[in-house]
Amino acid sequence: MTNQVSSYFARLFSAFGGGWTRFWFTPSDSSTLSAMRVLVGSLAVYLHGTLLFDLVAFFGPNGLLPTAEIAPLEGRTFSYLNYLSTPGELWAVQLIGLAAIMLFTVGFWTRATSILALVVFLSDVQRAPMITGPTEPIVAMLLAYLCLAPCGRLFSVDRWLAARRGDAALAADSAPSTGATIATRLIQVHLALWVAMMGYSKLTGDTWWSGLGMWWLIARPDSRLVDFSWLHTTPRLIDLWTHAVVFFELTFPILVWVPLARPLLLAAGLVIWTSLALVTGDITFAVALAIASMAFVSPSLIATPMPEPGRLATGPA
Amino acid sequence: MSLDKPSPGPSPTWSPETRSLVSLLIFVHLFALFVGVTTYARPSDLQLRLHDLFDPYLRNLHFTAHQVSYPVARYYLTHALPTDVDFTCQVDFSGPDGALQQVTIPPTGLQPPIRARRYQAIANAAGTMVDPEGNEDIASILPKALAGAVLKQHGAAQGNIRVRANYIPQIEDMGEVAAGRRTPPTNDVYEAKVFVTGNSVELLKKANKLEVAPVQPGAAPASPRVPSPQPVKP
Repeated sequence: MTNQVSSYFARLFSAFGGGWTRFWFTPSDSSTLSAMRVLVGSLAVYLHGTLLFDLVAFFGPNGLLPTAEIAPLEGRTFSYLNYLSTPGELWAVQLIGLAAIMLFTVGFWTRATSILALVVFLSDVQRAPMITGPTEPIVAMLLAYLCLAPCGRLFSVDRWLAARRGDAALAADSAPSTGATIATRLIQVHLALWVAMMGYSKLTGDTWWSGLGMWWLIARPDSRLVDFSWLHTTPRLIDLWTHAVVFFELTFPILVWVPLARPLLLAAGLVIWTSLALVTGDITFAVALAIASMAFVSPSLIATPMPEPGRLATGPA
Repeated sequence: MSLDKPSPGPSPTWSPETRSLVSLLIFVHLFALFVGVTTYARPSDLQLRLHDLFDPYLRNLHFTAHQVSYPVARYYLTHALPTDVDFTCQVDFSGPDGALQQVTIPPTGLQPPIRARRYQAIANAAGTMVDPEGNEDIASILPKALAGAVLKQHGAAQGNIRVRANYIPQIEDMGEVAAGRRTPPTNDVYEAKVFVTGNSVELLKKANKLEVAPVQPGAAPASPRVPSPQPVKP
């Protein structure tokens, strides 16, 4: 009996170790991450760029959110914006930040600008967390994990410059990368956890059980893109919509790991998140979730034909 | 989105020692992440203590969903509770010419829409921090900052700030709301006088209005099913 137990645990640990190594450390193509870099970079440019409209109104002298006043609400976080207050300082630093995110988006010095873009974005968020919403955690997550991967391999100025130079490093950079696998897996796991949290938290109150959850989103008059309040005449449709959202958020974190179910889950995600964007007007949140979902798309669907013969289009998706 | 069985693919290229070290880092990161995400709704004491342990890491990377400093439902898409409503902040003051002026947050007509969302988020943060049994100092931080900024910008020495909750009509009442026979209820959850002296801003809060029934003048009586105006607890 003792031998059987120890044998079982030996096989268990061996299988777990092998699975862990395959899951996290099998080198993979970074084409998907390169495409995600362009998209999430564009979203970060939008979020950072639109903040410039109200930069002085929020953070300037006599701004609505003075650092000293709101410090108790910020907690122990770092933002270089906490040390700036004059309009000149704020504009100069934020324009440099915008340039850094744009360089990351186009893939110029991608390794360096990926870290800069993350620092700039997090500084925006930490300066005044009360003006952020559900979009920012998704974008921060994507920017952070893209720092770990060679995400400038495709669709990038780096790639174009290397090709022009006939750089030998280009070929090496095109090889499957363990960093790409780790970044992709971290995005996948993080997204699954986040969606699970959204579903789980809905079950802690009565609203989503009773079928009225969507109504409380639909009926908010100020932010919606499309007015669905006429659905009050067909409450069963609202019930169905509510239950569909919860069902999706509870099933996505599990079934998205099943290859056969993955395309259905990703398509359903697009429908659900688009519907939420129409109802709430929070388009950036839906876009961020759609970009994050791309981590489950195989690089072979993204990659363009590469010049190197025999190149593997392998991916963790 | 490969539907086929995963191919064997290339073998791991990192040494076992490197893989072990990175595995440890991944494990710790995922554990911290799990704690940061699961403390969003009804965390246990154990979860809160673990969150404190990872707090600097989670907060600085913006990875946590837990509201560490203040109970503001920034992730309302995960809730949509009846109490998860929009607020407006109104600052009234007399201008230099003596005329009464009013500044409302969020202002209307901002483009692109995300700018309006940011102002709305500030107003919602101010509104949801008003809790009759909560920390009065925390509740007054944003009203004081907002009113002080508005008064300074307009050169006024004193004024009033009012934080108003704009409740959402019940689904059963929507027919009457759409026909104009009923107005969605509102309630002033916070009101204070504000004084500006130089750079100093002082706030004198009026009586807490949270207990007042959310009825608007001229509107039909609110439905008894209208949610009680309690602040959102994420």
